[in-house]
Amino acid sequence: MKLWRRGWWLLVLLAIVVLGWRYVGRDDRQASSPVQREADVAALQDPALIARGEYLATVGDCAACHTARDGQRYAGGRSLGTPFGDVPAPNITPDPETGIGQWSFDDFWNALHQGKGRQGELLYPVFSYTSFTKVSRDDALAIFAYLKSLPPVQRPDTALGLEFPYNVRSSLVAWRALYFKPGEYRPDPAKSEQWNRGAYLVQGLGHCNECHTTRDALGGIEQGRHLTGGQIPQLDWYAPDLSTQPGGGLDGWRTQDIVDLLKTGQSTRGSAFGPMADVVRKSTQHMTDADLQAVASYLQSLPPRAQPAPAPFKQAASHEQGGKLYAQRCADCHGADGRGVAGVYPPLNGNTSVTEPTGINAIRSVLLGGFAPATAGNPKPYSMPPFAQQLNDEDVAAVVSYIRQSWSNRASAATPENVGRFRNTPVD
Amino acid sequence: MVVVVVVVAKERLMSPAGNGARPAETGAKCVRAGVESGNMRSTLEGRLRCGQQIHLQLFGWRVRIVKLRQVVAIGHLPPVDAVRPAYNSRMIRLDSLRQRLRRHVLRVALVLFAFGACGAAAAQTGAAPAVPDTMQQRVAACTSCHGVHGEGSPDSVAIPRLAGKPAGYLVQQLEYFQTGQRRHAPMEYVVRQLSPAYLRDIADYFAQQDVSYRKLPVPAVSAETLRRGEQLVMRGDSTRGVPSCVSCHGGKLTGVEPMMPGLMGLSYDYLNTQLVSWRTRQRAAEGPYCMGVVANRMRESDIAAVSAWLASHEPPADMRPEPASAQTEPLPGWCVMGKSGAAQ
Repeated sequence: MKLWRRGWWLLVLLAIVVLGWRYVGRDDRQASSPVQREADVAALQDPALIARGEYLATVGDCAACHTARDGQRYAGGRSLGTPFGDVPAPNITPDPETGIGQWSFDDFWNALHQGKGRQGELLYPVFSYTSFTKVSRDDALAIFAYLKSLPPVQRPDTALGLEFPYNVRSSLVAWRALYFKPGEYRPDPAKSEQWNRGAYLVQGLGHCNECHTTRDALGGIEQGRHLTGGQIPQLDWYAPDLSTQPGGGLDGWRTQDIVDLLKTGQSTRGSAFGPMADVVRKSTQHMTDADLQAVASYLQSLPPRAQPAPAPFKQAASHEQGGKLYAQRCADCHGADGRGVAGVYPPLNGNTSVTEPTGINAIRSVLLGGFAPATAGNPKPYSMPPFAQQLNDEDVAAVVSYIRQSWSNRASAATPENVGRFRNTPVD
Repeated sequence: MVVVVVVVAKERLMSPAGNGARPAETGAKCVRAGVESGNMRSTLEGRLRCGQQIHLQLFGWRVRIVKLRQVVAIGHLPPVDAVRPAYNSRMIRLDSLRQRLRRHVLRVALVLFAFGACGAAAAQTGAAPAVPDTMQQRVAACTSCHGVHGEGSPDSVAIPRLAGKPAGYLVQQLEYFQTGQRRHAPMEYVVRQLSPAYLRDIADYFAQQDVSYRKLPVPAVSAETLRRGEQLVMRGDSTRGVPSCVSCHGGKLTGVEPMMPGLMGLSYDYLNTQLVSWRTRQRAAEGPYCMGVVANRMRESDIAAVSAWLASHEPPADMRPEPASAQTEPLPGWCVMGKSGAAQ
């Protein structure tokens, strides 16, 4: 019976693939006119364009994926984990054999905008073309010019770590039909220039949605869930909702708080940690003040979120035990009132990284401790001790439940089982 | 301005049962704990009430105090390093027979402290507790395991001492944890988002610390094993092509500036694990590398013997690494230089 059902599922999938083939599989790669092509080639040498491309590549945080941990910048090799298998990021230095040395701008544009490789093959959406499709042609040209200006590095790409059926690229036809709509960002004339710049950066180049939205079982992002937060697959951190309105994950954050966090890794409302610390250090701290203001002003415009009907608040049985641990281990820095020390130790009261639905962030922060990212604006960050070596699962669950249920916080309790699940230390 | 009450008590640092670690210097850690706290109020208020068992808890660094006995000082204190040598003379010793007076003094201390704390808070803007602008405060993530002064962990012999190791060596190891050339997940995670300049500051902080050594537990090994260990450490084994430890790590085994780490004051477990890590490439460096080659030429029993001898050897009084000029013997030909010009 089970086998039969699985067979059905494959048949349906096959039907979708075959039907979709003609529609999506058609060659819609765009080719520019010969005149345009020549103009593009000439522009690639322009130092001003290259410099702008470097900035844009930093905003897009291309190096974060396209650089192996001990590898050369942009030479690829970092293995990106997905629930379907590992996808290695390719070499995007201009090496003719192993990089993008032979690519034309049309090839680059089709990858970024259409999610298609140089031979027309469908690219895996771990490369976030679902967001990058919104990048403008001018910006794409600048990024391409910058990549072409890099010293070529010879490093052949690593083999795909995907198994059947995911290793069949054409299986993406169905996925793209469901989740991918190509198209550059269209400015909203009713909104300010600053707002439009922010929306462009957040939805497009910054690809914030790729982490800050829940993915479904097929790894796609559903329409209408824009920036509503979600657990990041494989990494197992929770990327919060980004609305600053009531019910939002950044409820009550001022523009300056958002700018501070992105620029220095720290704000009066919270610190960047886990994967976001990496984003701040490599990307957002280098953004111009104007762009950071634009991002913040766009995030400020996100709508209030529907608040779930308040579930009856049930305080964990371990509350007293958690309170003792908190007084011993946490209160010196975060304060008995959970307010922290502005600019040094983040507040825990009213901090949505503490109260997010899963509790993963608080559990991992207690276990791993660590530094806020070292940035130009905060070159010598303060730090938090890791408690993984000192506290057992019950104690971590008790103290996490305590901070999630004290002061104004009213989140669910953490369980020792969950603490055990997230005890591993996430490193490449 | 930080107002500090320092309470010293007869303390017993908890050590894992049966490993033979002896309690650290009586009192010393408590003094440091008191002085270093930027926000002692909650700790003291909560703890001094009962007057029996007191836990001072700072940034996860656990100091367990049994039976409160002495009050050292109340009020403004100079930085910790200035206090430590002098603290004996500042002590107000309380006779254990005068229990009542003791309680009374403590109560007065608390009141004075509360007064001072209020004054301090009023002098500053806002009610936020003052956080010391020091490296020591910043590196709480390091010191909760490695000790406030990098003296090593009282709870785990596997966590190495950092105090006084050459800064060049420490910064290189931090970089290796960043790039994954040295593997230990908790370390890799903690140093992940730090800049080269900050790594240098952190390395300098621990390199500058000067704290006495703790006697570490040694495994029960035969005299034969210790003799073999001594032979390898002092003379090496030319038949296996293994140079002596002293030929690179300094005649006193306290390391050589700027890159060669000392081997004294480290536990058997740590030394043993590191030598095995060189063999299994959990520790690595660029290209063919000295310690990897040496460790691979050693028998497993040799690794245990060297670790046992080093861990049981009494460290010399002066633990500072020797100056670079002390390295007179050239390194063996197969020893290549790594990225930062250091012998690997």
